[in-house]
Amino acid sequence: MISNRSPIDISRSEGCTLTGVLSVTGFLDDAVTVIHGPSGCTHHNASLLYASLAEIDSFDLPRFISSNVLEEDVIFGGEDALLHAIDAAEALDPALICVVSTCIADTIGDDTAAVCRKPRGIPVVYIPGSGFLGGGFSEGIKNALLSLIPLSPSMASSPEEGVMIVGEKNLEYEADENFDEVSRLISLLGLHTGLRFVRRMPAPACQRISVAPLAVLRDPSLEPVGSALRERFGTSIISGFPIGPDGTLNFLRSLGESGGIDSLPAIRDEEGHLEDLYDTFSDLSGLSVTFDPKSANPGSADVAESMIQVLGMKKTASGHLLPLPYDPPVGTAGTKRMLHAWRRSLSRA
Amino acid sequence: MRQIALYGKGGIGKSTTSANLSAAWSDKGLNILQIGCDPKHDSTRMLMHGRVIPTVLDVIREQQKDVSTSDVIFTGYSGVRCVEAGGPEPGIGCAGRGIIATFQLLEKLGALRGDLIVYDVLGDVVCGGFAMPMREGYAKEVYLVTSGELMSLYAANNIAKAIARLSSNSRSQVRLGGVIGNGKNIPDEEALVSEFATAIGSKLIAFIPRSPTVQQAELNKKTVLEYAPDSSQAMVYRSCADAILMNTEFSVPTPLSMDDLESLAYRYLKE
Repeated sequence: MISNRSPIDISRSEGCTLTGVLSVTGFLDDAVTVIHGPSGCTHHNASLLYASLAEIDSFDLPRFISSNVLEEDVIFGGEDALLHAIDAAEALDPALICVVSTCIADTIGDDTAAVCRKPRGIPVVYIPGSGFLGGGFSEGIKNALLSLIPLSPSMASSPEEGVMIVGEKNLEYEADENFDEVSRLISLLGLHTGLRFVRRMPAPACQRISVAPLAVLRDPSLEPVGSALRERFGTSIISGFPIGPDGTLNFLRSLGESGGIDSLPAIRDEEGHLEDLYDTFSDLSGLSVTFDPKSANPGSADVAESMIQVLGMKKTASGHLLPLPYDPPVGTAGTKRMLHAWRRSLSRA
Repeated sequence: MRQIALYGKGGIGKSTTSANLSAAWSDKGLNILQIGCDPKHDSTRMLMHGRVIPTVLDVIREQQKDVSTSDVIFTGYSGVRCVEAGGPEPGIGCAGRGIIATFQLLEKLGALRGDLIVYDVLGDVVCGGFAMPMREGYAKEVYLVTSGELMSLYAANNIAKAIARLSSNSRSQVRLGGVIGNGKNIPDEEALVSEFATAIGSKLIAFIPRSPTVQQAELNKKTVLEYAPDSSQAMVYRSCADAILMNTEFSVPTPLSMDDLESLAYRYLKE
C-alpha cells in the first residue's frame, strides 16, 4: 500500500510512471508498445511524447497500441481486450512487444503479466506502469529497464562490447550532447561506448545486455537497475553521469578503477581542459551574481556554487540572477554550456 | 415512489427477506420492482419460481446496443418486476462498477418506477459501487438485515458506518430505516439484535424467527407468501412489510466501535 499522499512533494514536470516507461520503450527500434488501459492513456502520452520529441527536432512517434479498455472491460475484466491488442501488435511483426499496465488495469486486477506469458512467436515483455502504485516518471524508466534485462541470457562479458550506457533521459534536450561528452571521457581511458540501453537501440540488442563488462547509469536513481545488472551478469557499475568538473574527474577515476586502467593521464588531460575552460570564461570574474537554490536541481546548484568560486564571481543577494540548467550539467561540456548561458544572460542585463 | 435497500452479511437471508417483503407488498396491490445487486444474482429466484433470469450485465455484455426493459425486467409472483444486476466472473473485473453501470442503464430505460423499489444488496459495502443504491437519487431508506451472530452484527455495523459517512454529504438523503432481525436460533437473539439497533441509534423493525417453512418454500421454488400464505411465517413477513410501510422514523446511525460491539455480543453469550 502506498502511503505517500502528499499532492505537492513530487515533480509534476516530467509525467507519470507510464510516461517514464514509454520514454524507454518508445526508443527501442523495431518494438511496439501496447498500453493496457483506456485509450486516453495512450492519447495523452502520445501527445506528450510528440511535443517532447518535437522539441528535440524528432518527429518519429513511437508505435503505441492501446488495448482501449472500455467500461465493459472494467466490469468484466480487460484481459481479452489486452489479448486483442497484443494480437494487433504481433500483426505488425515487430522484434519485441512491450506491454505496459495502467492505473485502470491494475485497479480492476487484470493479470497483465499472465497475459504476456502466453507463448508467441516474438517476445512479449510486461512492464508495470501504474502511477497510483506510487513513484512517477523515474519509476517508469526504472520499471522499463528492469523488465527488459531478463531478455538477455547470461553470457560471458567481452571488453569488445564497450561500456554500456544505461537509462539515458531520452526526452531531455541535451541527451545526445550528454552521451557525446560521456563517450569522450570514456575514450580518454582507451575505452569505447557500446549499447545504449535504451536509446535508439535495436530491440534484439536486448539479448546482449549481459555481455557488457561495464555500465554507466545515467542517474544514481537507477541504482536498482545497476544492482540487477551486477547481480545477474556481474556487470561493473558506475552509478551516474559525471556532474560538473569535480564529478568529471571522479568519473574518470571510477572508470579507471572499474576497468583496471591507470586513469591518471586522463585526469591530468582533463584538468588541463578544465583550466582552458576557466580561462575562456575569465571575463565573468568579479561580476555580482546569484541564483535561486529553491527552484534549482541540487546538482545544478552545487556546480553553480563551485563555478562562482572558481571564476572569482561574487555571490550577493542583489546580484544578477543566473539561469541554471534543469538537469545538472554533464561533464566539462555540460559545464561549458551552462557558463555560456550565464554569459548570454549577463550580456543581456 | 419509495425506494428501500436491504443490506446485510452474505448468507444472512437478505434475498429471502427481500423476496418475501416484495411478495407481501405486491399482494397488497403495490407496484414493486426488486433489484438484486449481487454478482451471484439469486435475489429474485423465488419470485421467479426458480428461474434464473438474465442479468443486466449479461445483457450489456452480449447485446450492448438497443437494450430494452423487456431484456432486463421480468415479471414474477404477483406481478413483482424482477431485475438482477449480475457481475463479472469471480476473480476478474470490477463488480462495483457493474452495479453503477446497471443503475445507469435502468435509469436510461426509465425502469426505476413503481410504488416501491427494493434493492437487495451484497452482504457488505465492499466498495463504492455497492454503496450506489444509497447514493443520491436512489434508496433513501436502508434496512439492515442481521442475525445475532457477531459477524453478522459486524457487517451490519459496517453498513451503518457507510450510511453515516454518506449522510455527512449535505445533498445525501439516505437514512437508516431500522434493523430487521433474521433469526438463527441463538438464545435471546431478538433482544440482542434489538439492543444493537438501539445502540446504533435506530430500532428493531421486525424479528423474523427461524422457520422450516422458509426452507420448504425455497425447495418448492416459491416465496413463503406464495407457498404457505396462511403460515405463521407468512404473517411475520406481512407484519414486517407493514412496519416498513408505516415507518416514518429515519436516523443517521452512530456505529459502534469493535470493542463495544464485541462486548454487546459477549454479554448475551454469558447471560
